[in-house]
Amino acid sequence: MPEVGILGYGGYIPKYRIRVEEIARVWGKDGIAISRGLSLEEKSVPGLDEDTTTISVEAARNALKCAQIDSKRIGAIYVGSESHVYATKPTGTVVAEAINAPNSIQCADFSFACKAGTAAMQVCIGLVKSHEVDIGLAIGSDTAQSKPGDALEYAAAAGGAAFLIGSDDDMLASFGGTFSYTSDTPDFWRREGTDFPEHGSRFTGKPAYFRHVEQAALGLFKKMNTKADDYDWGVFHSPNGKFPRRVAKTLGFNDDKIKPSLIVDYVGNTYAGSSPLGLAATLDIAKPGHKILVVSYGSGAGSDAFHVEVMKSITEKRKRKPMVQDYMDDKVYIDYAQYAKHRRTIKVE
Amino acid sequence: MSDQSVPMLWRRIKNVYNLVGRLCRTCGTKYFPPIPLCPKCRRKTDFTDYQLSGLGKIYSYTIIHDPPSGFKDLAPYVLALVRLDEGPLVLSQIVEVDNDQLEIGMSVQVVFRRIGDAGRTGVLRYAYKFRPLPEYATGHIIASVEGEEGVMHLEVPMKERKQRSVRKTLEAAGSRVRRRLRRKKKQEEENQKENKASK
Repeated sequence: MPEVGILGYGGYIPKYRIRVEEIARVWGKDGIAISRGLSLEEKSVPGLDEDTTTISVEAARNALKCAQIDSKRIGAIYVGSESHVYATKPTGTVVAEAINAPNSIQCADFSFACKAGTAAMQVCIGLVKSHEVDIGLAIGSDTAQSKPGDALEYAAAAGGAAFLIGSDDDMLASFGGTFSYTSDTPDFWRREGTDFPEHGSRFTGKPAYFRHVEQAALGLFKKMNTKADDYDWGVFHSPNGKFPRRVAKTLGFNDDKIKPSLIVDYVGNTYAGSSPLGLAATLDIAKPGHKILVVSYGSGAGSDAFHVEVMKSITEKRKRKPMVQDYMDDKVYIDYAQYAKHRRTIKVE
Repeated sequence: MSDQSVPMLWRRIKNVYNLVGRLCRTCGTKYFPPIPLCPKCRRKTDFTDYQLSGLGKIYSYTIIHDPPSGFKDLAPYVLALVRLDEGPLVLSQIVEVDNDQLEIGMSVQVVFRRIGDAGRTGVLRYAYKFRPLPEYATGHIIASVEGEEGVMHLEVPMKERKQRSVRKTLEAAGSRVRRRLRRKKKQEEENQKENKASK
């Protein structure tokens, strides 16, 4: 029996969408060319009353529905995001209270750009493996920020996923191993007190995203003694639709293997929620026995790679909660003016 | 809610985050928001916390076009009285709804949302709101029944909901838990007796 795995998972994507072409129209750009270049159709936008906390709570409640465990068994809650609503007060405490978790929990907020969610998963895996906690809840969620008119604006989206990590016999997937690759690469950052992140344009590609994702994946292959062909599915952090497709090709994953995780085309880049949501979408369709490679990427920079094996109970458990596809299909389009109001770039009071 | 003090907000967290109301064990009536005394039983009131399912129907509604301060950016928004499946009538905002499709009797489901606007420096307030019940809803919410072992958490699957009311499902599940707890207690008592006898 594997030592540690996923007992339940759940995703959440807000209902509102804006098309890439609509954003391009406002800034006088060629929407079709941008849409094709980034391989992005549209992106999700949080509701006026939604933020990282509410998305985390909805995802965590879905994970609890999936696992059907008593929330009092949770011993740790870690929320990874780069849009935590407070600079000092944690998001995790609100989540804990909203899912009826006990007061005797370990709790902290994580930030590591877009890989804060998978960093939270790694910590929970460690805590469960060392028997420090019974069940850990790891969440990656974001209402991604981007400067109006910036290239990031076409992709920065909202969404998140939560994973209940434990060692129960009826786990729906197991973690075979994890490997991380980290270096000081300043490709994207947001300074304290500023509203929007800055980035190093083309520098975010080769030395940043591709180097870290590839090295983390290769490191995991070596550690687990596996190769790309051993995996049925691949999940790669998706800042746009182009990067994950290219890195998958380099590593030896064909388009079909990454298709379920490429929600980015219609949801956008959910930052810390990106690879967790990709994993959730893949688990929604995977069969028992399938192997999944998950590689996140966080600017600054680092990548976490996971070897996930799907177990028998998944077919029964995943039906208990809404699928990622359900949230993708349930959408309402808004125009740029409404989008500006939703993102609070228009101040009402 | 935006003019609440921080201590007042803190006191209500348990109830407004999770729709925790009160159940009077004397008469079986459920209340939300929690009240200090059961108006039916008065001094015979025997209150316990009760987790509501978060499913209900719109009883009546209005659309707010001229909102109070702190709610300006949300206008026009829908404010409704929601009749929860367990009985209580709750005042709440309805989100993600097309105003043309709004109707009395519409099925709604609880969601967790931010309440009002706290500006750039204030404390953020979160609570329940409701949205039209989506087709993909699989069931809600983890309901609780208080037993001697503590609180037992239960799930109301949507499939069962279609066949019978949440209330009946909950009651049936609740009595299953209670029966199990009673059996367990009886077993323990018998074990104790046996132990004493063997001594």
